[in-house]
Formats: sequence, C-alpha cells, structure tokens
Amino acid sequence: MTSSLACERLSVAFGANQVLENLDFAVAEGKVTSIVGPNACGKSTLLRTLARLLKPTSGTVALNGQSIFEQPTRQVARQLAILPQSRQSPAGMRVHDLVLRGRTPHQSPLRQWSENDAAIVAQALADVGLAQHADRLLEELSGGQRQRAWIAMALAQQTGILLLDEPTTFLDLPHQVEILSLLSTLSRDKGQTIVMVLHDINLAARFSDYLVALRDRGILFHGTPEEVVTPQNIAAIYDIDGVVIADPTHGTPHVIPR
Amino acid sequence: MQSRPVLFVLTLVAVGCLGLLSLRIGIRPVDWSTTLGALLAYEPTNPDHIAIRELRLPRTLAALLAGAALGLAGALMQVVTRNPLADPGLLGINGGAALGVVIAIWGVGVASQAALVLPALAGAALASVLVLTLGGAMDRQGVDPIRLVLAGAAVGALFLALTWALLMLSRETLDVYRFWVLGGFNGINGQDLLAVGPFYAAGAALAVVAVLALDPLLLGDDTARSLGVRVGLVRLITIAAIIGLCGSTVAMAGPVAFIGLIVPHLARSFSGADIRKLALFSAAIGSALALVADIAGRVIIPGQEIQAGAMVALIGGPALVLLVRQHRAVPL
Repeated sequence: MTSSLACERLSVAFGANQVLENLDFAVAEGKVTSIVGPNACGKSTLLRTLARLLKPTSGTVALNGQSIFEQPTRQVARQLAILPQSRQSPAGMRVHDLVLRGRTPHQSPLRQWSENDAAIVAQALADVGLAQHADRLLEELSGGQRQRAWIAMALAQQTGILLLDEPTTFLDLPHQVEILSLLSTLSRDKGQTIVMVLHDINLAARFSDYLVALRDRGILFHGTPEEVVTPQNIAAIYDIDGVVIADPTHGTPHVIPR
Repeated sequence: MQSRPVLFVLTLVAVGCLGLLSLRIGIRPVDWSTTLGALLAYEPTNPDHIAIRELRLPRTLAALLAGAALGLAGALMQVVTRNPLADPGLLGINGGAALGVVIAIWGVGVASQAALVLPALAGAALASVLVLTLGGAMDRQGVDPIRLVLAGAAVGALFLALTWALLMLSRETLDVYRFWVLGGFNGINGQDLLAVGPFYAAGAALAVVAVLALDPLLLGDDTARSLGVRVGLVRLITIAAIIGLCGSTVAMAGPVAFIGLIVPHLARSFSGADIRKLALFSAAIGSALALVADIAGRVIIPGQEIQAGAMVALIGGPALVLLVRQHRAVPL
C-alpha cells in the first residue's frame, strides 16, 4: 500500500508573491519527514501543494509517478490524506462519527457503508488509543485527544501517505510529545509515510527520520536530523547563533540559542 | 437519539393534521364530514366540495410544497455558506422574480396573480444565472460562498431598483404588485401547481444529491478535499438546488420570507448536525409553518384574509427571538 510522493521543479506563487521556486524532493517512503524553517518560509504552502490543495504555477507533484493534479481526486484520496490546519467540526459530532468520515473516498452513493468500514474505524480508533472514547462528543475531549481523533479519521482513510500541517499547534508540551510519539510509532510499526510541518526544530529533530529546511523560497537542507541540525545550518536557516548538543535522553541533536 | 424517527413521524402527523385543517377552515364554513367527503367521495355538484377541491386543495398543496421547499433550501443555504443567518433570499432570486412580475404587469398588462407565475420564474432564472456567474460558478475553483452571497446582494439590489423604477412610473402596476409581493397561497390553482411542478421536481432531485454529498463539507473545505470530495461541484449542485426550490416557490406564491431562515434553526434542535436529518426535518417543519401561517391568516380577522407571507413573519419573528434567547440554536 506504499505510495511515492515527490515534487519536481515545483513553483508556487500567490499572485505576484513567489512563495516556492523550483523545488525538487522525494518523500522517503515509510518514514517521518518534517518540514521546518522560519515563519512565512512556505512550509504550509509546500505541504498543501503536496496534498493538491494548492495548484503550482509550474512544475508538479507526482504521486506514484503521475501528476497528482491529473488524477481523479477520489483516487488520490485513497493514497494520500492531509490533516489541514483550518478545519471545523460541527457541534454534536461524536468521535466515531468523525473517524467514519475518513471512509468517504472508499464509499459511493451505492456503497455507503460496510462491515469492513466498521472494522477499519475500530482499528483506527484503537491505533490512536481512543477506543474507549468512540461515543464521546468531540467538544468533550482534551486538545490532545481531539487531535488524535482527527488523526484516526485520516488513518481510517487508509492511505500510505499522511500529511499533517502543524499537528502540535495549540497543544501543551506533554500533548505535543504524545502526538509526535504516536506519529512516529505509526510510521515505525505500520510503515506509514508521514510528512508534517513543525515549528519546533528540537521536537522535529527528535521525532523525524528526515528534515527538510526551507528558506528563501527553496530547500536549504534535506537530510537526517544529524545532517541538518548543525550550528552552521541553524544559523543559515533561522539567522540565530546557537549551539547544538546531543539530547541527553535520546541522543538527537538539540539546538540551544545563545 | 433513538427517538428521532418517532419525532419525525410526529412532525409528519402534525403536517397532515394541519393540511386537513387548512381544507376545512375558510370563509365558507364546512364541517369535518364534508371536508373528508370532498376528498374521498367528491360530488361535482356540491358547492362545498367544489370550494374544497378547486380552491382549498391547491392552496393547501401549495403551502405544503412552498414550506417544504423553503425549509429545505434554507437548510442547504446555511450549510453551504456556513452561516446560520444565511437565507435563500440572499441569492437575489426574489429580486429577479419581482422584476419579472413588474415587467409583466406594466409591459404586458397582466392583472391576475395566476398569470404572474411564468414571468416570476423567468426573472428568478435570469437573476440566478447572473448571480452564479458573478459568484464564480464558471471559474475553475468553483463557487465561493462569500462571493456568491455578495453577488446575490448586488444583483438583488439592482433588480429591486429596476422594479421600483417601474413601479414609480405606473400606479396600476403597484396595485397588482403589492398583493404579489406579500406572498401567499390564496388564488393558486391546479394549473399553477402543474406549471411549477417540473421546476420543483428538478430542484428536489438536485437537493437529494446535495444532501447526500454535502456532509464532508461540514469538516471544512480542506478536509473535504482531502477526502476526495469535489467541493466546487458539490457547492454548485447545492446552489442549483436552492435556486430550483426557491425560484419555483417565488414564482408560485410570491416572496414568502423568513421560512428559510427560521425553519433550519427549529429543525436543528431535533436533528442535530446530521445533514440528512436536518433536511428532512426542515422540509417537514417548513410545511407545518407555511400551513399554520396560511390558516392563521384566514382566521385572525373574521371575514378577511391576511397574506401568508405576512403571517409567517408575524409568527416567525418572535419565534426566532425566543429560540435565540433560549440558546437552543445550535451553531453550525
């Protein structure tokens, strides 16, 4: 069920404002990749273009070798899911109802709902640890639980690729760690390809297999956290002077601004 | 949760009772056995039966249809624009219908309310096409709800301005127009129903598709797209359904305001967030409200009738205020 995702000479602009220019990169299958960089460097724009929510001005995004913009949107939705930042949940919606919506691309007016869907929804809820909470209202959940419910919806979509736009926004530190641990577990145990936008370079370094650092409309660095997070690179990405130490518990690189 | 089917059946029973009441009540007094007799054992020579069959039955059916259409269109409108204050009137359809009507009265000399159905329909269609085009339906990105409502406001205002310009020119036109503009179900005959029937059918068919397809849009546009939903297409179908339902209604009964605004709020306290249930309850409650307004308009001043359009606003206004004050209006 793995799918390949890559962008080729990708340029995106909002009117006259060029946001991304000539990006080339292939997402590592079955791994966690985090897109990092300063504010307004185009992180979300890149992620949203990878998910066909934005159209590039030139170049393309290839899903399994074929342009994502030329494939039927339902077919894409069976291979790639995105959890956008802006989303809504109607009042009175239960966790189970939300997760069930993830089955939408596999259903049709004639084939609405099957036993198979029920099993997949139950598995997705179990994967995010919300099996006990399936009947609760979304608004009753904590921020971390709610985020896990949305992740379960994306899992129920059963796509090889999962994109997340800042999945830790508005969460406190324990919930940030909870969500990122969940995502890295999903990748390790189920071979889920994950691409996400993260603000916190240290959390990104700890929970990702690869980092993509954006700056000035292009990819500045792309590699493992050890390759990307060096004092010189951090200075180039963020214009700050910092030291990089090994995280005392996990050994991943950790930036301490001077 | 389990009581919703029961609730829905109760609503339908209430609509049925109101329908029978609407057949019975009127300036010519009849009793229940005559009312039922006119339906079940029609005697073409019995004047009571004729009044019920020829006048009250079409009128009742018109109220049923118009109420259901406006309630359903209001629910679709509020969901598709994500705005609990959205009303189908925002699409400029009523302005278009008004202009069509005024041109027919002023230019062609139409005097009877029944003959205004087709001009109103034509005006509503013209306004709809304009609003859809300006609202981005022809663009690749599809309909943008905010742009659409702005286009509707602009087109509606333009058409109303033209309407008033014509009305200022001709006092006779104003005399016919002022009855039409209140909106009501009296004077609608079987032929009128047949004339708008196909448009109702088309609107209803589109509405079924819209109700089945709109659900993922509740999670936001981006999520819906991620789920493989063609958001622009679903919006276009929904707007087309609203236009079909409201255009037919304004053509048949004039601009009956307020049902599309208040009914979805009433329905939501029964249906919850589920669009399919919301649509069913909105249609049923819309019918009930239209019938109540029409019946109340016949009895409130003995010997005289108040147009249903005015009665809806008289009943609906306070009801909406109550609803909002009790916080029973669930946000979208």
